[in-house]
Amino acid sequence: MTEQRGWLRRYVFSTDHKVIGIQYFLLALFSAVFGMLLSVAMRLHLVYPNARIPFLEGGMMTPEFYLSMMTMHGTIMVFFVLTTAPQSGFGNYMIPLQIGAADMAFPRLNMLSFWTTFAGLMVLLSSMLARGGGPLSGWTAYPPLSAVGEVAGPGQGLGQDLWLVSIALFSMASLMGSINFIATLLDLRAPGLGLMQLPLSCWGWLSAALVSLLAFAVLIPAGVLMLLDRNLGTSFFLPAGLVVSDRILEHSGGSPILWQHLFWFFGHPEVYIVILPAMGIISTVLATMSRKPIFGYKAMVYAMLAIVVLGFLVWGHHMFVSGMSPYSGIAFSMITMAVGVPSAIKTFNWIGTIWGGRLRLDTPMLFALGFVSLFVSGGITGIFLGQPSIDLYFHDTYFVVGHFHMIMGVAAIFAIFAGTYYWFPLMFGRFMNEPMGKFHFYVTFIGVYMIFVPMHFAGFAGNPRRYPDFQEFEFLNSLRSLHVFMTHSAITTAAAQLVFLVNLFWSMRRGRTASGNPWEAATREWQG
Amino acid sequence: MNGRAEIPRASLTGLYAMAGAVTMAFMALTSAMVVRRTLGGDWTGVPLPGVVFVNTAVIVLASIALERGRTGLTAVLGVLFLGGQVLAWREIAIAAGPGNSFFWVFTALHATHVTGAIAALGLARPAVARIFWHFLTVLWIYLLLLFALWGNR
Repeated sequence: MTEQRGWLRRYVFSTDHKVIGIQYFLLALFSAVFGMLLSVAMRLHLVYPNARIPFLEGGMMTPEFYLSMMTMHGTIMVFFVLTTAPQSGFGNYMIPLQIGAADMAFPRLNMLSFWTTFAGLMVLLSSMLARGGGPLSGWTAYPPLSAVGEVAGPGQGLGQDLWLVSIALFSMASLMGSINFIATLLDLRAPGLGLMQLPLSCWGWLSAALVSLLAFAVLIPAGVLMLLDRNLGTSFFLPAGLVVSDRILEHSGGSPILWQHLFWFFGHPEVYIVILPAMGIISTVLATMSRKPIFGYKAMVYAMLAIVVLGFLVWGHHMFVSGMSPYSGIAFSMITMAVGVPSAIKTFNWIGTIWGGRLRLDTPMLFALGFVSLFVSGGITGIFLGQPSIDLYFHDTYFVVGHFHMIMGVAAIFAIFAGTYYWFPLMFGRFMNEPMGKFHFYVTFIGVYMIFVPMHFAGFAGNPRRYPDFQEFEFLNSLRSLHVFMTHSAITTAAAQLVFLVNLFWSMRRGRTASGNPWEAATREWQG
Repeated sequence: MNGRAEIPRASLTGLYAMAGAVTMAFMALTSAMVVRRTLGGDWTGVPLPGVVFVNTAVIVLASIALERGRTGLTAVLGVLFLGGQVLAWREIAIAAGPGNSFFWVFTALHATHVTGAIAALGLARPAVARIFWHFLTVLWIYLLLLFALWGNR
């Protein structure tokens, strides 16, 4: 039947879960390359702020241009890479195969969800070219400046509106995806396959879908309120007597802090939407490549569910310096520490899984081990930041940037790599090239530590994040060599990703052919 | 036509998940309203237009009609409800006060979903459309109580 359908229905507007999974994966791949190039450009600007760049207006990078690149980097990476690839990409491809279903529960909704995501990405990319400059409020878009419109300066006009529209589109697509994931995993399992027999990867996708469903449902109304403040003169987030660019604005009574609450009520669970599917993928890869069943399966499931619940109760730890009551701060701090418990359960069980196993140290396994390493290194600094008194100093410094890049940025990217190298034989019937894969792993693994560990030192020295030119400040001048080191590490690591890209597309056609179940996995997707 | 038995379980799960997300969105707005009212210091209640009580009757009737299997009548009543809401909006300037602004956001978001529910009468499985419709009726009654008992002061 599919043979009769045209090329367009089969590969573009397809309702097939495998095609949609690959579409999501390619969308994330494009976004990742673009977002990474932006980060390299930012790193270069930080150490050579006065470099002549011929094709830019004025021949130099303005602070506004730097901020718009930073906003685009954060938004693209968080939404269109980290939320998209582990969940929508691998999830759509693997869930029906792992639970023995013919397809997702709602195939047409699935297609709509992908194309809404695509539209969101197009709107975001177009916002960079908006009249008055690209959006520059960061991925958190704090008011008041993000909510007053053009009067606040470059990028705050049409660019910021388009940013909000893009996020709203992405959120709606995520809601559709979550509904599909939940219905599929709860109701379409093969007869006899109980919830507690699901591979942990399925539990990762299910728990992330639950978080995504409830979190994106809050981001959409928050974005609508901001659009209204910007365009229809309401005062949800804007206080009275606000003076911007020498003009008194006619708003009254709103609160910028209200946005922070709404945003972080979404924003913190968002990091679990990223890391839960990553944890699931890693659990599956570690067990298979250790030739052992996962250690402590039940504890792993309960730990994920605990993260789902706790994840919704810790948003205040992003707001310790917002003037919040110290009592609230302590409550948020204690719940934040509590997240460490399920996280530690998972880490120990991963170690328990590889302990005594006959390890297969192929590329997917290396990236899985790299994930565990990054998860621990990035998690420990979270304990620092979760203390209100310490966060007072670290807030908005490079320490935070180092922390979240390790734990949710690069760790999740490692899960994407692990999943790609691991499932590639299933998807294309061929292996990815192993020497190229190993080279890719070692350079990336050492490289990301060389980029992000020094950021913690810069944070210790009080280096604020988001500053386009830290060298304007005398107390930061001594950090120049550290920043040069980070920039060189970033360029090297970014260049190594070229090896991955070549390997990916070369192996699709030319890779060593793989048998039906080359890793001798026990999960259902390989048993066809 | 009627009857929950023939509906696939996944459709029902999907519907409940969607209702969960919609509930979450309205809870977020409610808490935003509580915070805005407490912190702002400039709170003014929204004078509730009389037509919203007529609209309440209309949407409840639409639910009853659907229960009786009169799908066409439900669609007509749904459109009538939306028309009534437009009349209400004409009496309320969105930026004239925080109460007004919240009234607009809540009711417009609800109306968006009612539009979807009218479309669902023709597109979705009858049982799914029915539950979704009742859900929106209950949600409307919640909004009415919120504004009639608290938001108007």
